[in-house]
Amino acid sequence: MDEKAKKIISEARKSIESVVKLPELEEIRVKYLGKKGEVTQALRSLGEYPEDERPVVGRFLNEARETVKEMIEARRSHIAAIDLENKLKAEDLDITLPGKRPSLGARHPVSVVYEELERIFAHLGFEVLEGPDVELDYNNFEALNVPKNHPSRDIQDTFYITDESVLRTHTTCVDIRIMKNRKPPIRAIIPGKVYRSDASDPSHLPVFHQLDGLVVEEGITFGDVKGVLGMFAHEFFGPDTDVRFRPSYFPFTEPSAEMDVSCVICHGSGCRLCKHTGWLEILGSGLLHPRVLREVGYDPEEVSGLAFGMGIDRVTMLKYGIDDIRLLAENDMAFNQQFIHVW
Amino acid sequence: MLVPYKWLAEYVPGLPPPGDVAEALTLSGTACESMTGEGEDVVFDFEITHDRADCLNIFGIAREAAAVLGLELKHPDLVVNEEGHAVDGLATVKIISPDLCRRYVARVVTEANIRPSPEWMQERLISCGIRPINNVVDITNYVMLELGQPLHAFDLDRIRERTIVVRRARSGESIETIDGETRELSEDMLVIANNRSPVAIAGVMGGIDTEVDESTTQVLIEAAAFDSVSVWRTSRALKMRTEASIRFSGGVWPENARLGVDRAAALMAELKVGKVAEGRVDEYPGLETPVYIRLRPARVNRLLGITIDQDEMKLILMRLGFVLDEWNGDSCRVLVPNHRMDVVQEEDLVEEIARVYGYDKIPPTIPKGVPPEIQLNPERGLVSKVGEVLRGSGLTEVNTMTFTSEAACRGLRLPEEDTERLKVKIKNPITGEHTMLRTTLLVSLVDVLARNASRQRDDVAIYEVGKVFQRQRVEKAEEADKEAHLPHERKMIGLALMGKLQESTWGNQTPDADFFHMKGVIEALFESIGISGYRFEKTTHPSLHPGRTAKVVIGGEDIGYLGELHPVINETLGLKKGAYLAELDLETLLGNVQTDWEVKQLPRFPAVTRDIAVVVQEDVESGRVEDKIWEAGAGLVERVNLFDVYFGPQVPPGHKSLAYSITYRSLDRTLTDEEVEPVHAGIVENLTSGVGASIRS
Repeated sequence: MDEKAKKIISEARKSIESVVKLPELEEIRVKYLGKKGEVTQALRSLGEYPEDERPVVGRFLNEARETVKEMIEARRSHIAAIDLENKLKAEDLDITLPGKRPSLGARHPVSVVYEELERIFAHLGFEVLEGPDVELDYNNFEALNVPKNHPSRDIQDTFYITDESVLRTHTTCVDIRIMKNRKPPIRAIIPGKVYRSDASDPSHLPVFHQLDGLVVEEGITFGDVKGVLGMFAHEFFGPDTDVRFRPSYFPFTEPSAEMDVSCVICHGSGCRLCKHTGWLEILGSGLLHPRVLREVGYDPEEVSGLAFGMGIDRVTMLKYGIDDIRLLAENDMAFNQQFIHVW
Repeated sequence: MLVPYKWLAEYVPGLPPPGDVAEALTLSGTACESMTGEGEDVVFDFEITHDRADCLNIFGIAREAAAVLGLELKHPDLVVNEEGHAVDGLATVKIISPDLCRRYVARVVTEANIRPSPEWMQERLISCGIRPINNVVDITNYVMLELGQPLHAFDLDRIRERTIVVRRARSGESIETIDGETRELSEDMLVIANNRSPVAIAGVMGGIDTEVDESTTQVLIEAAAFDSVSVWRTSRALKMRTEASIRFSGGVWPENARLGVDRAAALMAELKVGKVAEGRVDEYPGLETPVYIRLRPARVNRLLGITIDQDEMKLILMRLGFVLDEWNGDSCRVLVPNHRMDVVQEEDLVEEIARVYGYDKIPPTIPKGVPPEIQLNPERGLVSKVGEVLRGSGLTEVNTMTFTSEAACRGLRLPEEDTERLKVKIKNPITGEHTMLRTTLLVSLVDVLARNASRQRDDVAIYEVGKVFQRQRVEKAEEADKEAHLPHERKMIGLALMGKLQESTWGNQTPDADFFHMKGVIEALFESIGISGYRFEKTTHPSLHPGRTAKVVIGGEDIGYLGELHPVINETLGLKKGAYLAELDLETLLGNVQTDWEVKQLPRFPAVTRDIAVVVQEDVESGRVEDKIWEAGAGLVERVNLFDVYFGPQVPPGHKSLAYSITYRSLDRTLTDEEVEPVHAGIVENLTSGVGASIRS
């Protein structure tokens, strides 16, 4: 190779490699490749070479020009990368500063529980039906085998609206509406507010929530009561939950049963919550009373039905460890917003 | 009911330890609520269900325990050592109202010596929660606890002409009961009277005039079967719940009256209270008729979902005191024992068999039928979506009581005549704060705002889906359909914003919510549930700021309203920040949801955007300005966005500037400036002529 070309390349390499700033690199480019740059000058003075050497020298010089160009470009991207790196370094954030959150609201825990129960019972083909809060005395009591002016009315202290209407004491009254309007088979759950004339205290509110369930079809058995409700208990309280059924009394079921689940706190060994019994009373259930079936026009010899009812507030309190039912009605934001994480 | 273990064990020889007894009884329907004391001194507290008044006594529990545990039952000693005159000459009983008194049995004790009862008896009474008085009264209480038969002891010498008359009270009669209170009686109450006036309220409490005390020498012991409904009504009307009235209300059986009076007489003789006269006075107009039920074992098994052998069923029922005839084919006739007033039909026998067999032995199953075809409830779906959107907008769900009061309505400035006309009043309220059902969600929402503000929580954004109630105006008062008289119940969506919707952060100060935040929440909600074609119109509402209230209208129908809480209410409630409220009717919303919706094609051609600042008089509503833009849009306007509202020196006094960004787009071609220009000019022209606008450059 032509000495000159070699010299240009080696000198250029030296200076390019020592450059750290883009403007300096630009100066070098001008020095070698600019209009008055060394390579450009050398090419212009090709005429000083003997005619037969010109093509060779010319080629060498052109090669040198390309080489220098490449070296400059390589250096340019190298410097640009370093510059970018330095620039980004300077943009370093204190990532521990608080995030700018969109604000989100929380569901009320009673709604959370209702939705979960609706999901669970939907698996068994239950639909959700509702009825009025102010209910006929007939639907709330009489049709459910609680006659007027009868001592069995003492079971529930009732708010009366007129002589013929009450604030429903349970959502079981909707069972009567459903059965009178439909023919079996029926599978329904009935959520809603219910009322008892109790003063507010840590375990009572005059307005609270219930979920009733109703199944009417041919061949419903007491075993079905246990099966359906046991499935609910395992889904809702967890697969390790123990369930037991105790005989009880409700005017509208016969046989009747109370369902207990093993205590959610002590799991059966006994604690304050379960009054050292190891069990928590969760719901009432049973087979529909033949008088109720006849009242809605069904033949107890043809169809049978099961019914159950549970207090949602109580279940909510057990599920989330709430010790005062009034918190569910107060709607203190410091309470309600805690349920933002529930899903 | 309190039951000392030792007392119980007297009737059930071989009774297992207390823990086992509690478990066995609980699982067969007599729930043990608690046990106090140690070892043999344990006292159980049993919860007796309403249908089992026969278990409101120690012997009744013993009967259950013996049946459930398969043990022998020992009856109390009923042998009376009679040594006095014949009772017939000593007292007379007349039942004038046999419908309310099926049986009245009396015994008489003469030469009575009234003193404290023996210590063992006093201890037992105390352990069952009853205060000892004297030997006669204590024996009556003891027998009531033991057998469940309420008894009453009269000082016979103080009963005029020694004649007991069982009759309804007469209008205007009253009696001073042993607690010293004077009770006004009404004609539907049953009383025990002498020839002239009442001496006791039947089944509830005795009168003070005939009370047994130290001076008493002759005692009449009463054991009766009063009508349960009558005693219950009387005790409710007089607000007197006594040990006797509880048992009578639950039901007593006439046979027990004889057992009770004999047991008391036996104890009086045994404890030497006096001489028990020979025989009893026994008026028994309401002779018991035996109850028979046909039992079909196949039906029992079908209802329970098990297969119990018919002999096992028989054994269980016999242990419970039922008497079974021979099997007649696949059924048999069952005689119900007197004390089981709750067993009247085959299903009751099913429960008896199941509870002794053991509920735990019945295998759980799943209904075998084909699940019915179900209708999805569209309202549930809407409520669920509404909640999702509102929570995503930062609102937290609340769940409030449906009660309110006239005072709370007044506090919200709701006109009294409206409240009176609409309110659903509670006949028997328990507090002055809960006297009626709410007619609007506002009362509940404002209540939540105030409670939170009082706890230094001034930034509150909430929603509730809940019912409001209005009295139904029934055209004909005699309307036969009772349903028509029920109140009108509507589900509403209630919204409330107070203070910041979002917390201020280090780079961003958030403003307090205003009218337009509330409006925006509603607009976003509507968009997300497929409601369009609605308009906001100015309106007024008594609870809201007169200049900052709007209603939402769709197709001539009101969906709801929104506005700023009236500043006067705001101040009264002590709210530190402005509050914005809204109430929307869920059913109307559901009726206007667009369901026939299709995905639009994506725009294939670019849009052209032009900004325009429109200067109009202050009272020109921006809604009208926007209408003018759309009007002249020639179908090319895709979007109109108001991005600035300006009042100030840059515009003439009494004017404002509204800055819009108008997006033009065609679905089938790229718009050119030449095409947009005349349309834009047309809009300017329409603004000038339509709302007197000038365009600011």
